[in-house]
Amino acid sequence: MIGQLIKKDFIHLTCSLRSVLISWILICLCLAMVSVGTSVTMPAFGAYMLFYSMKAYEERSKGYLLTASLPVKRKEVCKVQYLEALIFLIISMPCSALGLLLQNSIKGTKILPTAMMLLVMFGIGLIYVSIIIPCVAYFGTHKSRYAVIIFYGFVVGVASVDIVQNALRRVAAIGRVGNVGVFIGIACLSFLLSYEISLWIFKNKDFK
Amino acid sequence: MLRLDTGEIKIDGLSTTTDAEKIKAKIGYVGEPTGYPEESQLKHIKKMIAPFYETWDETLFKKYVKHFKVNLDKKYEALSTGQKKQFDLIMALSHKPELIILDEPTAGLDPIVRNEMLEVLMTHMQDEKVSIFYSTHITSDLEKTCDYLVYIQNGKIRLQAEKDKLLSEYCIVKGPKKLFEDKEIQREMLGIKQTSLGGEALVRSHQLARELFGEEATYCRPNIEEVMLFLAGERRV
Repeated sequence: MIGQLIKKDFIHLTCSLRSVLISWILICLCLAMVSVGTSVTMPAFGAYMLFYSMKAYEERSKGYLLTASLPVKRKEVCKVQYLEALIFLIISMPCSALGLLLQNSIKGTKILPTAMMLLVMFGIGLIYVSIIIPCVAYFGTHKSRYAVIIFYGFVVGVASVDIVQNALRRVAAIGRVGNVGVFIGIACLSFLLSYEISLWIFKNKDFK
Repeated sequence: MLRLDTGEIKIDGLSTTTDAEKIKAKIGYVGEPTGYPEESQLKHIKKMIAPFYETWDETLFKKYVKHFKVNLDKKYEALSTGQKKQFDLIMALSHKPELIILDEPTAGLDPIVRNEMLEVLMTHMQDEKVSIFYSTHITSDLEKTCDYLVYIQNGKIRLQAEKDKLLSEYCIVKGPKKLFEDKEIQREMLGIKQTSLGGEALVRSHQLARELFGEEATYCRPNIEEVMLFLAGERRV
């Protein structure tokens, strides 16, 4: 039923939420063209934008009740959230790469998308969706925005602690490839941990 | 959709805890809200939902769409309350569920649409051999459609009986006030209403009523609404 659930959401997105898709393409391209920094973080934002918009529309119509009434397992519903977020992340990456290429031809930045850069983009996106999915599952789309802001405040607070900064310096000393490897490892771990948290939320949630 | 606090619910021998998806495949639901995306066209909603059911019957779907004259190109949010209920019913019936749960399906509808929906339901019930669990405040709908009645008041079951048996056996007794004053007789009454002039009581059977009140009282058969009013009114002596 995972395939059917993904198909259901994509029919909804492509047939009924075309305005969301068009804004997503325009925002992705524009953001990716602003600077290298925004290009690298854009896939994370693109995945977030599509995922969040879909969930917000679903919440408006109480679509979660419809999904809960379908002959599917709660685990499948949870898995689909992650698969869709991954798909959104992957389809956001070419937009970002295109933005970098356009930057290069318009501004002459001479920075082209490399495999390493794509990996970093993917890692950032993975961490971003790992945070947002359980928040949306638990709090709903409206409250989850505040939850995410509080979470980022917490992360900044933790990152400013001396012990954490020393640990980060040690990781930075590993070298560029090693850094990316560690970063991707952390991103994958956070994705798996996030899935387990969401699964627990879905299994114990009352759909009403 | 809700987690169990205690106990177990079984439908067709299947537990809602372990076989939820198998049970949900057998159930069709019409209620408020159904969760269909407001911004979607009806044809897209059908395209989203139909693949989940192995038993989906496209011919049946088209038959009901034609019957209710539903325009599938319309968006769900553009439908009137009656049209929404009709579409909800079409979607619930088209996957040929064994159990149909209808939560106030005719609430807020005009009598013509209401009657049309009830007719479709009754025809479907005869053709497909399904059970329908129907909750409503409109007692005339129940008199037309139901076989078995459960009356719930403040979360407690006040009455459960076959409709025909209830309407043919239950009896309203009317008579002078003194007839209803005996405490022994009051114990046999399911409900009682008294005024300064006389009284009325609901009794379980005609035979029992005649034994208790004799020739002095008059007897008549109640309708479902009257039974509900007697049961809801407690014993007002």
